[in-house]
Amino acid sequence: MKIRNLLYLSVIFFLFSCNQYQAPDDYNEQSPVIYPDYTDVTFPPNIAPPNFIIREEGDRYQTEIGYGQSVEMRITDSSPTVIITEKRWHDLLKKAAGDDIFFRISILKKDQWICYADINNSISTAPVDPFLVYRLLYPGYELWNEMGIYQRDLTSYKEIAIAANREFGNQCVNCHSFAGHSPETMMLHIRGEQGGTLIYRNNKVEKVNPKPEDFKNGATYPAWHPEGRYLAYSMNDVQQFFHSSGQKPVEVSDLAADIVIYDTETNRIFTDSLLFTDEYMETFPSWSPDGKTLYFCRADAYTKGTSLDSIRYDLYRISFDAEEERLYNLERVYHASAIGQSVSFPRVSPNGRYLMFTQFDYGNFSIWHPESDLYLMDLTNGEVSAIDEVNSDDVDSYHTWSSSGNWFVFSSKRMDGLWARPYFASFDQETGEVGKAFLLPQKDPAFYDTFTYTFNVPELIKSPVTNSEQLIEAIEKTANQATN
Amino acid sequence: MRYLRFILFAVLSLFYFFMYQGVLSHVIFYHEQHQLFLFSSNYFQQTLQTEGVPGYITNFVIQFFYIHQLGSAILALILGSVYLLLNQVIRTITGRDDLLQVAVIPSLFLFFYTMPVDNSLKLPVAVFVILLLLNILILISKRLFKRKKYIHIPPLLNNRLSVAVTVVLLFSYAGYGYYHFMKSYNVSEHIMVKAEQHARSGNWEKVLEYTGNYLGRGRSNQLISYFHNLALYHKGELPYRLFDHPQALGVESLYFPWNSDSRESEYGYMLYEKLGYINEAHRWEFEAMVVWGETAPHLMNLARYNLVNGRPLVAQRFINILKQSLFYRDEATKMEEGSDEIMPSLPHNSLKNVVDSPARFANVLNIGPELQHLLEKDPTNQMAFEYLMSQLLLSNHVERFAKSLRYIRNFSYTALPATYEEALYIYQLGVSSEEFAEIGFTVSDETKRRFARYYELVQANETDKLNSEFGSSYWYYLNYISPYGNKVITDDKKMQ
Repeated sequence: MKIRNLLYLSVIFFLFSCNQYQAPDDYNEQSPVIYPDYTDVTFPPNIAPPNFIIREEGDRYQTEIGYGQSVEMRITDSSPTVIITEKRWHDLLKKAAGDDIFFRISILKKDQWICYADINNSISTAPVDPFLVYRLLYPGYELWNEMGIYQRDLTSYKEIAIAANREFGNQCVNCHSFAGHSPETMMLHIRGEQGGTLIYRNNKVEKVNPKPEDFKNGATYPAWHPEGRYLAYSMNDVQQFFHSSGQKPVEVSDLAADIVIYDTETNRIFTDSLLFTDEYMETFPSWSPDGKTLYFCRADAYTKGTSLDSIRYDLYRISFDAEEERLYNLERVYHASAIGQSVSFPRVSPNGRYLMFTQFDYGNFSIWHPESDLYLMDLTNGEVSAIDEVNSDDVDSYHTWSSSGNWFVFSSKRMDGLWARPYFASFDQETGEVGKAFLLPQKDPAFYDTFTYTFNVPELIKSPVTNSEQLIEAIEKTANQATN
Repeated sequence: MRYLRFILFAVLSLFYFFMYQGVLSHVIFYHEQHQLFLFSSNYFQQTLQTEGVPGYITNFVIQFFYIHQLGSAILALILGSVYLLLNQVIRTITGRDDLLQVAVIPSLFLFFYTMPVDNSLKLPVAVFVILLLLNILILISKRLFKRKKYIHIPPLLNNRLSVAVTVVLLFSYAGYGYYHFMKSYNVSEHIMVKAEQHARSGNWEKVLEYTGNYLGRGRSNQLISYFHNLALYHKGELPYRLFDHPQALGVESLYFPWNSDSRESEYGYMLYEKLGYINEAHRWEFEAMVVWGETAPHLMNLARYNLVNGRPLVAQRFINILKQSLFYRDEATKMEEGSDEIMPSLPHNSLKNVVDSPARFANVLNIGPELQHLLEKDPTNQMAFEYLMSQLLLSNHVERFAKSLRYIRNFSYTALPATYEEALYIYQLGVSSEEFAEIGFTVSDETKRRFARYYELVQANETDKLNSEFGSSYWYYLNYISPYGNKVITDDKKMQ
């Protein structure tokens, strides 16, 4: 018994000594470098702990996390990796919502504890939609093997497959899209032997082929009408081209593209000669929150011999009358080609005031263009500005607003130039002010160092997708062909 | 009889070992190159999820195939142990020696099962693990219940007869095994994998040995021809020996046009890397990684290509993965540190400082324009030159060949290779003397004399003599082998 007691005491002593407060022997006015960069960012009050690695040399590391004068947790370890307990982090978020928090880091170097300047972050009072849906795949070209659409619980690290293609013969799955950030109305495409589009509405899954027989190109990029009945599709002839030299590996380009509206109730498509033309390529449809306007990108049609780096897209919008199923009043919103630029992915903020898009040198597939940056247009006055707060030297592209409009998520390749990772940023809908972007937290902060799948099409949703079995079962069905 | 099982275990294990060291050596190499075991929790979780425990254990075992002898020994011992462990189970259950030596059968079956490289090693490893666990269970139950046997089988034969039956059966197994092996051994697979192995290590002499052996039997295979021509180039013999074997595949004996074929995706990178066409090498290698997984050859190459293409952060991701392996860790670390040992071995990027305006995109179906582009950007790229010449000859493009011959002046050939002169003479015969003079080369009298002889044999329809005297000539290829017909293609009548 004595030995056992001694052991218990040793363990308690060890644990106590591990987290015992180490008073600083000296101070460093600089903040330490941490990875991922969680400094001066605004976190939602429901985000998972942003674990990080301290990128400073040392023998031991002490991290205190708290707000105001209060230290809420202390982590001491010989490893520079800081793993924050989920429960304590969420407790802290509750207390510190609307306030700043600090990461106070001390490092033991040559028997001296050096306390660095605090790293400060803010906690917003506005939560972010708790689920992020994305496709995980290799950032490859034509061949594929394993890929899937996954949902990540942003309040924890839990990731669940919605449709992992190993469940259905390694076919391609893409373009997941939700109406009103809700998994109650959603769609995704399957490409391969059992190809088709899965549409989930009114608690049932239908497999359709939105391409009528006499149409040349299949339905590609979707956009749900806010009321959940109509889907705008661009029908694209997408081709890949590979750069002979330089660091840009591939150009994904349309050789043709038009926009149609698919009615999920009647399995019928309709369009208008303003959107379905031989003279232009129309792509990336996106609805305004009231469903009365459809935004899209448009470029001159591709003709044989057209140099791909001369194709530039402008931003357009067209009015939509749902009752009469009528598209009218085409209008150019942003003449990007006039300044030698091209745009993609228009997205209107939930309050209808701002429009975010990606701007880059040419083409429409911005995710392969390192110069791609996010831009914001104030729809009240048409002013356009680069979102410098979040843009980087590498790709900053595919973006989605949260349902509240207080957050947006976007794909950025800033870490290395090849893999897209989801970054979040806060947004003030009154002032248009944008917070510094932060990387999706992972349990292992070194996760991104060896993870070789890219996060494709990040979409925020208000609740989890729970019908994944139903979706996978529907893949085996025969697709109902749309009519026009 | 008492030690027979140990003797058989040793005999089987040694037999397997020597097979994996010899005629099945490609099996060890192939599996090692198609698996990469990582010491990381992410790998553990992911492998369990996708391949299960047997997959994880198999991958663990395969990593040791990096050392070829060790890999052969491990696989041989696993298969030998299948016999020993099963024999032990039979002995424990019956309380007697296995008179029929049936335990030999699964061991042999699993050995044969490992012969085609596409068969996973999961099965033999899983059988071995199950038998091992079964033996442990039996051992425990024996200790617990003190039972010597579970089924009573009375002695059927006396000792002499038992020995005779056992010996006869063992000879039968060996005889059938020999027959089955000879019937199912895939020599082409062996040659292809070995050629690839030697090509990767730059042992071009060996590549020629394997591919020459294959092509010398009058057979045709795109991969073999691809490696053969690569080896010819590296031995400085491509212009001289291009037609030594019938190039029945035409230009496709030089390269793989992009067909979105997952099997082909593994090989395309090699040609482009040697040409210094790094973007294409990278594309092929990335496609291969997507299909075949994150294995060492793909990760190493992707890291190398990104380093030479000025994308060190991308290279670092691949290096990070390799650093989690047992046998590639050191090499990855050296690459990360930019060690003097590794950096000189990085491939040359022929288009390093090229900025294309308007943007230029690779022709992934026809290598001709790509070779032309490489040569225009770097007229000293000898491989691009020889491959361009070969591509033009093999595609019957004699006119373009003659017009591109000027690039030869950038290199130190002592004389025009005979094949080139043969093609040039064809061109001369089809154009005016003024047009031919523009080319700036002459055809030797010897070549003209040889052509006269060739023509004479063609007229006389002396096919055997033609083959023996001119089988390696361009004339013979053009008239009798080319898959594009026996006519020269001029710029007025373009291919593709």
